[in-house]
Order: sequence, then structure tokens, then C-alpha cells
Amino acid sequence: MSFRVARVAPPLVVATTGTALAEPAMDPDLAPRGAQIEAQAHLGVATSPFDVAALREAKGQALVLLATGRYALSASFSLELRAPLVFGSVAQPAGSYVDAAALGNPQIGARYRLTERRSDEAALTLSGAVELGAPLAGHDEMLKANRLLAIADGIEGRGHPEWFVPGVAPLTGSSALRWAKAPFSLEAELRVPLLVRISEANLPSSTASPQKLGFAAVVGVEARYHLSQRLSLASAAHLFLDLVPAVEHVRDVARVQDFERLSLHVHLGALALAVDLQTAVGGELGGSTVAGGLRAAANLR
Amino acid sequence: LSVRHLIAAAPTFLLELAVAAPAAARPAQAAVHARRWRHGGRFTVMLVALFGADCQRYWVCDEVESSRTAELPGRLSETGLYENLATEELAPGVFPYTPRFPLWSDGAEKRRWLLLPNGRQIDTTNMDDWVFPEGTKLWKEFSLGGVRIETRLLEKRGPADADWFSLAYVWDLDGKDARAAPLGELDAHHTDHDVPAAGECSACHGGRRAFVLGFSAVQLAGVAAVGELDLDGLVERDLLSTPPPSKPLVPGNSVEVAALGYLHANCSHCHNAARPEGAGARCFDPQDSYDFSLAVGRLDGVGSTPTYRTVIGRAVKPGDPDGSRLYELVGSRGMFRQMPPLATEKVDSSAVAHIRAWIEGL
Repeated sequence: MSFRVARVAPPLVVATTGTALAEPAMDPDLAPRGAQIEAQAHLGVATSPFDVAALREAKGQALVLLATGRYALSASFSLELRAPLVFGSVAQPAGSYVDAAALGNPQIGARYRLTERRSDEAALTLSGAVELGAPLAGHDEMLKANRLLAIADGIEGRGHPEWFVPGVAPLTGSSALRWAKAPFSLEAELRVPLLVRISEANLPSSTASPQKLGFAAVVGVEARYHLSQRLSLASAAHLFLDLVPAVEHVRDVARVQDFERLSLHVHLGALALAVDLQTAVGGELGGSTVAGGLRAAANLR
Repeated sequence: LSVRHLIAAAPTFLLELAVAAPAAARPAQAAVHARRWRHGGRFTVMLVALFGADCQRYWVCDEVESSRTAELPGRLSETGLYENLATEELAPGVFPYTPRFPLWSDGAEKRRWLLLPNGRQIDTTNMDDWVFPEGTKLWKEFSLGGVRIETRLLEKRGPADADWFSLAYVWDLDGKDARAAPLGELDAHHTDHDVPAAGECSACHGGRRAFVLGFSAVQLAGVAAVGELDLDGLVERDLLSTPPPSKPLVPGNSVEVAALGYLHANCSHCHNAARPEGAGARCFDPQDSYDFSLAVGRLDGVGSTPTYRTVIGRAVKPGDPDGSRLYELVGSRGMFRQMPPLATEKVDSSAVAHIRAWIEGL
């Protein structure tokens, strides 16, 4: 579930980084100008690859909370602060669970609308963004937080490793393109998180191999059909390419994985609701992942 | 009910849906799942998770502090089991034993040993919940295909019931020693065998005041192999504070004994009427009145056993194994679909056959 509270609406928000394809899309003309505060939650279960030889997968259920503060300095330029927080239950080897909570890597970023073309019938917007992460993601001796974050990473379709990989300072570049012509809209996004290793994050050196630099790419696309002014149906997919893993995998896992999300969006004035279900398709990246739930966004002028 | 409870329970609720939906969508599975839902298992679990009085999620265990496991030796060779590990010569005072009714461990071969501190006795005032002296150690070794995978250690490091420490040691590939594995290990030695994390030991062992499960009057009343310790051996060595007046023999015919023994060994550590209150890490604490234990004072006939008194007519429908929830759970695997819920991924087909025959004969 996601709640967005905003004051004013610059049109650049139509193409966002990070959560663009995961959020219930607001009408671009309703997007805020000035300060904006946003909170969203994503609930799911995942079996994700994990980096320790004795625990080759992290399995469990988690609630991923994301708080975002955004400030538009102009119609084309905005600053953004984002903090992920995860609560959940981590499966132990014999089958019991332990509860855990962990902070992800907070991100500070800047986004710039590169170009926008509008006509009476269609709109095309291109934007770019850079985000820098603080290496605050949780880790501990028992690897409970590490595993929880790996589960959260799986729930988010591995689309945001910069949020969830502990022991790294992330730097993420992205660009997004949005085309809209009633009743359709199409959005594409390319994100490239660089993960600079600054600590081993409690990973036992004997059974894990943290890399100095991790490097991934995420390509996403969402197609949306507006059934009416208030109702839209969207299908999104993103492809995760684990080009240089932040930790060398201890098991043979696919480094390319695609995720599919189906969502139904309802717009009720300043309120946007979405029901979605996301799942890994075309194979398993060390396990499986299913996430979904109800998302909501409120846009208050 | 609070927001915290809802947040805590919501992931499991979703897990349930995720697990159930794809399988239920297959026609062949739909009837099975419908029956399970009708039995109320999943629905009950979710209702309890979401709206239960205390919203207890029994499958969540407390974590053992790393400082606690760090107090135990890092290598098995340092725990006092062997005088000479290379030759497997046991240390003085270490006795092998075999419980009459073993816990099912997905077919793993197991060996067990006990060490009591010199000159100390087990307090057997309560014949169903022995109190072991400080310094007691027990080991259980798991092998698959003749290859040693892990050896688990229970050690009582103080006088209180909560002073039991537990840790698993995973054998090195060369088989020369084993290393402590406080986090457990998945698919150890590239087998299906999972080594439990230190905190998971309490899930089963924490259900009895004794903490020790397979070393009791009922479990040692059988005939031991040569060199192994049994109830008679304990009495002969004067290791029991209160020797039992006679061997506690399980009543019934062979089918009944097999069923009662299986349920005692595999179910009673959670489902018993004598669970300690808040002793150490607690999890898998059922909120029901089932009792599958074999109690020394209730062995004068099958009808006297807690299983017959608390389970028949509820989880067991006499003469109808397919309509009995106990039979369904023992013969299934999967979260919320299996019993025991921990440390097993394979059905014990022999036990299922025994349970079926037992229910049919009721």
C-alpha cells in the first residue's frame, strides 16, 4: 500500500527513477510541484540467492517500506531522498522462522527532465537521474539482516540492488522515457546501479567472496491501457542483469532474470489505487519470488 | 489486534495465498486443497495469525545470541566426545544409546552418545521429565549413505533448565573433524540434509522441561545393543536418583505400539500437557490440548495414554484414516501442511503405513 502526500506537481514526475514502474501511476498533470512526501509498502515472499556457502538461499516473507521525500527546485529539476526499511520473517535451515527488521541503503538523488514533446494527442518525456546511496544497510553476525535484505531484493524483483545490498556505497544512474496517447501509455526505463564495496558486511570470508565493485543493469517497460478516465490496466516487465555480482555467487544462478507485473489502477481524484501481482518468469534466480498487494497514492494539492 | 500484529501476520497470509493459489488452480489439486481448507488448517492458521487473541505465530523462534553459541567449542574434537577422533575412540564416561522410538530425520542414519559428569546422577523424581546435572552433554550424529554430515551437541552449562546450550557441527569434507555451524547449513555436503541453526534446537527440545528428548525412561526401556546404555544400565550404574520400579512398557499390540511410539517421538515434544512456562526460547508452542506423549504413569492400557484420551475423535477419526487430519499431516510435506513442521522434507512412508493401520483398526 502506498500513500503519497504532495503539495505541487511538476510534470517531470511522469518519468521517475526507481519506483516509476512500481507505483500506481498518477495523472502527470496532477504530479506535485515543490515538496512531496511519499510512502509505500510492498508485501511479498521470496527465495533469493544468498552469498554464503552454508546458506545458499534466503527465504522468507517481508514487508518493504519505502519513504521518499522529493523537492522540485524547478519545473525540470528535483532532488530526492529515499529510505527503504524492511520487516519480515527469515526462514532458518530446519524450517522455523526468525523475525527481523533492517534498514536498506538510503538514497539521495537528483532528477532532470531532459526533454518533453507535447501535442494535442500525445506526450513524450525523457528524463535522467543520479542517485547516491549511503552504506547503511543492515548486517549482523547472525546474517539475519543480510538475509532479510536479500529477501526484500527478491520481492522487489531485484530491480533495486542499491537499496538492499549491505556493505556497499551505491551510485545509480537512470533514464526514463514515457509516451502517452490516449488510451495508451508506454514507459521504459534503464537503470544502472554501481555498488562500491566498502565492507564485507559480516559475510564470513571463508565462505563468501565480496567483490570490490558490483555492477548491474535493470531494463523495465510498462504498457498501460486506460479503460476509462478512472480505471487503467497495466502490464510491466523488467529485466535484471547481474553483470558483476556484488558478492560472487556461491551457487550457479542465472544472472539474467525477468519479472512480470500485472496491475489494475483506479484513479479517484487525488487518490490512486493499484492492485498488483509480480512474479519471476522464465526461470528462477536462485529460487522464486512472488510479491503483490494493494498500493495506494494520495496526491493532495 | 494491533497494527503490529497485522504487519507481522500479513507476510504469512500472503505466503499462504501464494502457496495455495497455483496449486489450487490445477484441477487435480483443487479437490485436495479444497478438502484441506475445509479441514480448517490453513484458514485457522490465517485467522489465528490475523485475529488470534495473542496473534502467536508459532513457527517463529527466538534467535540465540551469538555470544551464547560462541561459548561452545568451535570444533567437534574439542567437545569431549572422542578420546581419539581418528579412531573414533570415545572419551571416558561417554556412552552410546539408542532410543526405542527415534525421531524421523528423512532417513538419515543416527548415532547418539551421553556424558554425565563424574559422580552425578540424573534427578528422576519426575519419571517423565528427568533433570540432568550441570555438565551433561549429549551428541547426535547424522549420516547419509555412510557419510557423516553433522553432529549436534546439547550441553547443560548451569543448574537451571534454561542452561542448555545447543550447537550443530558440520563435518569437514575429509571427515577428520567438524566445525561449529551456529547459523545451520542448507543442503549440507550437497545432500538434501539441512543442518539446523542453533536457535532452532529449542523448537523441539524447549517443549520439555528435561530439554533432552530421546533419553528418557520410555525411550530407554527397550533392549539395548551390546555396549549401549539403557534403563537397566542406568540403574546398574546408579545414575538415576529414583530408579523406576519396573520398565515402562508401551501397551497395545504391535500396530498400536508402533503408532504410539511414533507419535511420542515425533509429536509429543510440542504436543504435551507439561510444556514448561517460558523456559528459554519458545516457538512451535501449540495452542491446543493434544497430547501425544507416553507418560510413565499412564501405560496400563492404550486407553490410558494421552494420545487416546486427547486425540481420538478429534484429529483421528476411528476407522477413517483419509478423514483424519493427523494422517493427512503426517503424510504431507509443505509449510502448514506437514507434521512435524520442522527438520523434515520427506514423508516417513513406514510411519504413514503404521498410522494408517492403527486408525483403520480403531
